[in-house]
Amino acid sequence: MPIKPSWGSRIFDSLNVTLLLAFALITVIPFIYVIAGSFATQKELLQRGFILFPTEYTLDAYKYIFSTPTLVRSLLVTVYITVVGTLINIFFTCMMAYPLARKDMDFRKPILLLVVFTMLFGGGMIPTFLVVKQLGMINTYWSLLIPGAISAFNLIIMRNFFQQLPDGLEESAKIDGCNDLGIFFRIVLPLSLPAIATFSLFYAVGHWNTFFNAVLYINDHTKWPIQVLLRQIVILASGGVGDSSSMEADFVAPPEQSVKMAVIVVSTLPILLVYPFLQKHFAKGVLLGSVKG
Amino acid sequence: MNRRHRKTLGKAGALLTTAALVMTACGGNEGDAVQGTGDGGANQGPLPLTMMLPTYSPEQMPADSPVLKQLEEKTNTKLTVSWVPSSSYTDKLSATVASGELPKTFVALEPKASYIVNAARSGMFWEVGPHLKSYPNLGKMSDLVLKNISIDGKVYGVYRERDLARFGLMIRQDWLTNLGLQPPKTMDELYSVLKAFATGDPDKNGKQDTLGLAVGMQGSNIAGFKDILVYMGGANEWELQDGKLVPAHMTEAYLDTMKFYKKLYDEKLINQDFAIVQDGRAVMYKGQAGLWIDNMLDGKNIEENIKKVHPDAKINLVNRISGPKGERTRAGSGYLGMYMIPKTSVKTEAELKQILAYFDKVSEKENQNLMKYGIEGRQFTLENGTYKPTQDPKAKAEVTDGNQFMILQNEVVNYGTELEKLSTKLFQDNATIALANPAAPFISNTEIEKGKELSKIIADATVKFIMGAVDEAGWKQAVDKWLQSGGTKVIEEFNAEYAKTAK
Repeated sequence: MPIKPSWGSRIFDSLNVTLLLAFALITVIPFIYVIAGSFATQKELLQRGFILFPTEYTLDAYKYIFSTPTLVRSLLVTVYITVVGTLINIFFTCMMAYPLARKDMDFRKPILLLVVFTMLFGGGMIPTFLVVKQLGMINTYWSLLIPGAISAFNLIIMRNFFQQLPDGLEESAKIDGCNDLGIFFRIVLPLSLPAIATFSLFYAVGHWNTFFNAVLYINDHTKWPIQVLLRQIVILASGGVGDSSSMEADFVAPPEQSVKMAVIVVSTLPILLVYPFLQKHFAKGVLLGSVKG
Repeated sequence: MNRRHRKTLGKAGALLTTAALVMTACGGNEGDAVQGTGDGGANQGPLPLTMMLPTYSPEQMPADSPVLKQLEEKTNTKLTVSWVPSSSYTDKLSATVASGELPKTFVALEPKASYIVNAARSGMFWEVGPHLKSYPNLGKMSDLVLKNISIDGKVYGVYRERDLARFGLMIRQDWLTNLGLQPPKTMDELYSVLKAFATGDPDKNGKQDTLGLAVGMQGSNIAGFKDILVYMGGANEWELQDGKLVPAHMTEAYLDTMKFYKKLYDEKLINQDFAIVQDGRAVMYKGQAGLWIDNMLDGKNIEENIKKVHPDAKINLVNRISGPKGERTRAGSGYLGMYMIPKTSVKTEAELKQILAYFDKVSEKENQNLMKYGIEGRQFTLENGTYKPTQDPKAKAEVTDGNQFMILQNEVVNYGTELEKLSTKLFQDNATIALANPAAPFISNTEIEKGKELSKIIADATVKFIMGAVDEAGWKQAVDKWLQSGGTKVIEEFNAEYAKTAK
């Protein structure tokens, strides 16, 4: 027989539901606003200001942003960086995390210490720029892929994940005649798919949002990723054009509000679409590995 | 355990040293190689010229743009342009300056930024001042602006000319007509026009839903404040009083201007939410307000935007407002950044002269117009003298940001609309009544270091005063806080520099 919920718990539940609903709305409404704005006419945007459902739908903004190849080119650049970059990230992170998880590895502790050191102290913008420059990566996509190939934080979580795989698995594989590389690729990696999927998403979102590094390292504007373009379009409109004590920019007509919103939609949608496919792996948990059995 | 710990540390240290050694070794070689190829071949064929420029558009000029090709032909150069988004230009430039990885010439948008000043003082850039006079066009550069861009009295670059005084009123002419009013000429008339705009139902919709002046925070500045300050007889940033430089906010006129704004605020003649409006133009766009004060070039854009909601809207430009000290207007800096030539990438004086010759050629009449409008028949057509720009996005992109190449703009033909032609005329008129900032040529280290936080103290207090959150005593406190947080030093440093030149 089900237990009849008390009044107290009912009130608690309904409070919970309303709070969570309110919270969900707060996060969703800006998205709806931007999407609605991208389909609205400029007149309606100016008059009503805040729109969740435009009275008149138009594709003008989208027609405008796709009228030149710039946006598509930047999108392709970003897709390339994201796909290749994530593969590089996962490959190097796993390749480094696994040995560090093995107890029979020499110098395990000092190497880990060096890794942790980078989490606490960084060189800063200019030293990093110098390293990238001296390695000859300026103005190449490598400058966006290599310097951040391994995230120290992700590496450590990954190592912990590998560590909690039972030793017995490896031993039995060895008895069956598998070498170390074989164990890694045929036993360990397949078992780690949930963790790999999760970190892929983390890395992928990071690459998708590449902005500052691209501004610093990429000199050729045809290699700009989408975020640089997005910021360029959005920032042009936000005042500060006419007046500043030290400098006085040329006057630039700001792009229309709906165009800005359309660009935001186009640049955000693809990465949002990736999420549902990886979401099921999230259920298994990022921090699975950190739980000591 | 202790012993083991030490052992690990030792190993880590050894690893680190090796890594560092490997890196520095590689670095040295790479640097030499780059320098080796950088020299030589400078005197054969067209001059190869790499440059870094800010871009203000989402679309950039393609490297194979016919406009760029024509400029190369006419100046006998081979240009390689690297565009940097204007919003991140400063970051990129400071990293590039610090690394020494500079192109042959680049635009410094803020020639008085600390990293530029420090680099110039350490001898990183060519001093071009003494050379300018030997070029027919560059020799025409304004002494006032050259003084403004100078660092310790030396000119380290070629500035990009812009009109000296571009500020003025953009006013709804249709509202004035509806109310039977004339454009304001004095501060008193300005006030009564604003009052009428807010209370007289200028848009004839039977509702009291209009404002006089649109105000927003453009950066940390209250829109129009600096202009009204000058109309009211105040200073343009700094003022000379008995041979001493005094900052604008320590003058009587500043207080009067704040009181004027407070009156507008209290009588609801300006938008009440101005302190959180990022761009006051948005208020104008909606057709809610009748007046906007800023760069008059913006008039055309504002009119186009209002017309989307109110098709009958018409914008007029007004530049002469007389106050207690007569008609005057605020002078800008007269330039938009300057081209600098680093010694790290341009080694010889011969090459420097070639680059200056390029700048001189860019300033020829036909090249000025080429970079402004593009090629006739491709970017625009002239039918009986009326200018028609192309609508083809590809052809448009070929001349995008062309004005970033321009040095002098004195010979640009004006093909614009009525409003644009009017603004050009008013810019010239403004130049005759413009009030310059007497501290512009000087550098104060404290101002470079703390300028932003210092001006925030004043900006915050000004907003609070206008909204009635602080009274005059509170304002005085804010000024004292400004003085104590470094303002006193700023005043001292500016005056010390001023004293040097006054001798």
